[in-house]
Amino acid sequence: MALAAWMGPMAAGCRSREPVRIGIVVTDEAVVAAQLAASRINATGGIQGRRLELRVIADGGSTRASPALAAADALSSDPTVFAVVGHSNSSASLAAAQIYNERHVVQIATTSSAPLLSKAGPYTFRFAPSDIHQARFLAEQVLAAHGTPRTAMFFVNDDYGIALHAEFRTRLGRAGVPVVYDAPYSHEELLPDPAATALRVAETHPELLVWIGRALQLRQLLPELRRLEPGLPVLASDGIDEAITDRNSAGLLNGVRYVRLVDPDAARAALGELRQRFLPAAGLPLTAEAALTYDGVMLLATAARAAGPEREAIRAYLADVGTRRPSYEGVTGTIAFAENGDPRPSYMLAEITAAGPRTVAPSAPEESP
Amino acid sequence: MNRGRSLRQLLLLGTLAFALAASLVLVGTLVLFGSMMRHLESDANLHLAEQRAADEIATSVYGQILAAYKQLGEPSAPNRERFEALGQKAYARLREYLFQSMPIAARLEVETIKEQHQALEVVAHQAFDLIARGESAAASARVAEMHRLTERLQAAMARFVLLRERELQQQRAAQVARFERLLLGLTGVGAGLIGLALLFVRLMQRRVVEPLGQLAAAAVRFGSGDLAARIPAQRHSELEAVARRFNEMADSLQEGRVRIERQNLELSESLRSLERAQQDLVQQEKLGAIGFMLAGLAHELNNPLAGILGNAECIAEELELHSDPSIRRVRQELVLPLIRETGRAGDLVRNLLQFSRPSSSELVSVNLKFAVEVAAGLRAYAFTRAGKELAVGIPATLCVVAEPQRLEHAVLNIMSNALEAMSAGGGTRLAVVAEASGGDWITLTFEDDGPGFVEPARVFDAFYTTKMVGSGTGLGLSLAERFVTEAGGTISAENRPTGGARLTIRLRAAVAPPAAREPSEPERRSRVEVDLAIAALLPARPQAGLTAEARRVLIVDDEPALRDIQRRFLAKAGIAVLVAQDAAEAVAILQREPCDAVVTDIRMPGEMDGLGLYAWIEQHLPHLAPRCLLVTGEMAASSDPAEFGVPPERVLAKPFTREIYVARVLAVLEEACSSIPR
Repeated sequence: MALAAWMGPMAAGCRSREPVRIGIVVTDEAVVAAQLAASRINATGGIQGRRLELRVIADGGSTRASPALAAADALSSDPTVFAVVGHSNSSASLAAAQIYNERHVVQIATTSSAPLLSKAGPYTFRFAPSDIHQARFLAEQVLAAHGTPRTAMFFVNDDYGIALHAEFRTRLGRAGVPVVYDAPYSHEELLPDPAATALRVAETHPELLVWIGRALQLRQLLPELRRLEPGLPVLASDGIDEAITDRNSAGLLNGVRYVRLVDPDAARAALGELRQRFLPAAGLPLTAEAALTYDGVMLLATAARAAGPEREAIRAYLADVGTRRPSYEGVTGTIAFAENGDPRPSYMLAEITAAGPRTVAPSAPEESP
Repeated sequence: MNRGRSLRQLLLLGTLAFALAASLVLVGTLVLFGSMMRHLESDANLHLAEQRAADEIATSVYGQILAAYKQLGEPSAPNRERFEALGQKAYARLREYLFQSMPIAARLEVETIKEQHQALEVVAHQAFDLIARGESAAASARVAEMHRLTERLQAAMARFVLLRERELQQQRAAQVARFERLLLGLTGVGAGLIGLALLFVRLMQRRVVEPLGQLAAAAVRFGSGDLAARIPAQRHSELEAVARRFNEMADSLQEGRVRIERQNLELSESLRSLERAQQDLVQQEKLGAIGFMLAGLAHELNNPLAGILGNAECIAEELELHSDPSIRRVRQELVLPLIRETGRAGDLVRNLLQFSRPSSSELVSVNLKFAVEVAAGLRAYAFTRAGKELAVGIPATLCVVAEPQRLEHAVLNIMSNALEAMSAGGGTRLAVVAEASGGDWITLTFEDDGPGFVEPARVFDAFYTTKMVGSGTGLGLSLAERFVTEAGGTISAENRPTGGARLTIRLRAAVAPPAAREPSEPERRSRVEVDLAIAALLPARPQAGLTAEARRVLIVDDEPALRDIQRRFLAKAGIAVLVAQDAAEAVAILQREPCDAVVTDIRMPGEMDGLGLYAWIEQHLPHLAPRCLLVTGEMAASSDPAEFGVPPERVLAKPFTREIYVARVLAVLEEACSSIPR
């Protein structure tokens, strides 16, 4: 009895010194940003005196469900993990969100924009607006810049691309934009014959190429297509805003305009500081996903400091951000959540140049539908 | 006061508790069944929806595959649009699984199906393009890829269906287990309710039935006469009130019964007293009749006794003068004893007269010695004849508060009792003594040396007797005890240590008459006895100045023998005598001839008796009234001369001796009666 009485406070003390953890399921670059955020948190006292640690499961940007489900299962089964930042794309986030919501683990999806994620559950929050809004933004850009061009379109045949493509195609149809080529592709595979594909596109005499997908396959197709259709404007969705875009060493993507959620090069002090820390740590410039991941970790830490590192407390805290609580001012800007966990839509148009992406048309934030 | 919950509260609480428990069980059962039904319905709907979705997915996918092959063989825009539409439908259905709860493995299969489907669509699009461009070789490669993807898709779908089947089986098993648990729980709850009901019944039995049984048992016992039956204290106010009321009623009835029994005893005692009083009255009536008979008998005896006595005296007187010694010896041996025994017979008759006179029913001062001697006089001969001694030693000054006649009767009864006991069981002597005890009380003690009492404590019980049947009534000592008690005294009986019986009477001492002297005979006795006293005194008185020749006395008596005796007595004394056989003749004589005195019998036949004659004399010859002497053998009160204003000194009782008779007549003639002390 005496031993138990003596051991009780000891055990409580031990528990009080145990670290708390945030699960990280993002790309490798974003993991670096998360680590920077954790360092900052721990440098400023941790979370209620406890060290913040990251449990990182790098997904490499895979859209497959299998690794996403495995990661979600592992993280949600870890009682020290009170929240997760990830996953890095819509398919993975949608697959994992079901587990997080079943097991009451807060998930902040940084770049997942599939409309279905708005219905994933109360434990799912995200920084990327629903693609319903991006489809409209893209359609507006098409009409504004090109009128009603003969449009050739590729879309990645996953949860991200299917939904955005369907909404965008509908809007183009309403606007009378002729779609002369429309083909899906697989994110998990390279284009089997980019030259033939480019030739088939060129045969439709497109005036605009819309790319709803990621940068890898676009980098395959674009050189072939530009050889056949030089000067063909390319408008891409936010899917290409990834590290590979910044590593545009060959200039393959130059001239491509795309939708941006965050401008990592924006003149914001906190962002600038993060850029300075990130570059030496990651060996490449700060990406949008990395910046959003940094904000995700910082927001979760802020919530844990205020409400405690408990899953339900974190969820309640985040649900109030921007409504019953003040919005969170992150390095990427003001973060606020709607009732379904979505942010207010805000996009900008960027163009890839030899010096890197640059914002050419910032957009005013839209009201949530 | 209330030591516990009231019965009404208990019943109400029990009923409410049981109703609440039953309601809870019912509601819980309904809720559980409702939940199970909803769950089952939800599951069924879910599975139906899933089945429909799966069917649609399969249909769409296979439709897409068919459309794809059709498109490959015969490309057309509608077919491609159909391919696209089926793809969208399949995707939409697959995404519905996102929001369904399912195991990770199943979810993984769903995601795999989605991914395979998406890959199939991509390859199909690529094949379409190649066919459209006529690149059959390349298209064939994509078709082969389509085949591969289709197989993988089918495999994924098969795995998913298998998983869902397993899950359904698990769910079914879970539902069965849940239902079994529910049944088990309901059985347990039912058993609990039955137990609760049994407990409630037991509680009711202990708190209601058993107390009611006690109440019924007490009522039965009470009804069967056990008035001590009571109901023990109860725990509930209602039963406690019933028990209290019952016990109060029982107390009241018991008290009433005790009261009634006491009253019955009192009534029985009163009845016995009444019976005793009735017996007393009967006895008194008997005694009265005996007394009346004795009075008549005394009258009838006194007349012949007076004749015998007078004639015997005459004979003795004649024989005394005879010269023949043998003749004179006859006087001495025969006539004088005759005179003596006749006198004793007269004494006995007087005692009978005294004993049988009516009671005054008043407590007065009674000379104890006289009263005892009256009784002793009545029983002296009997004692003598029986060879027993009756010794009376009572100071003449002791007076007690009593009714004289009842005192005499009591003493007589005690003496008779003692005589009979001694005659039957031995013994020779009865001693009667008295003494003052403590100033206020006189103790009268009777002691004999006979066999003693058989049961001293019962000798005063009415009709208690140890004599032979017909020898006694058993009322003698009972009447004595009654008399003593009513006189304020006590009476006790015991056996003497030396043998024999002792009977002790304590009576209140009475104040003696003002002149503290021994009462004279005339004072102590009735008027009928005055002549005896006078007779006792006259020999001491001188007969100064009396000359017989100068006097003429009228003798009135209906008895010829007595007329002749009286005539002889007076003639011997030298007094002229006129005789009349009744009052009428006497009146005629008195109207015709002068007389100096009149000696008349009181009781005579005819319209006028002696008293009537005396009244006539007072009226017509008042000077002669003081010189009348009334002779009587009566005992009845109605013959009391005082009622006619006759002084006692003018009454002469029969029988009388010549000496007394002559002396009284001479006294009347000399009008000297007033000098006779009283």
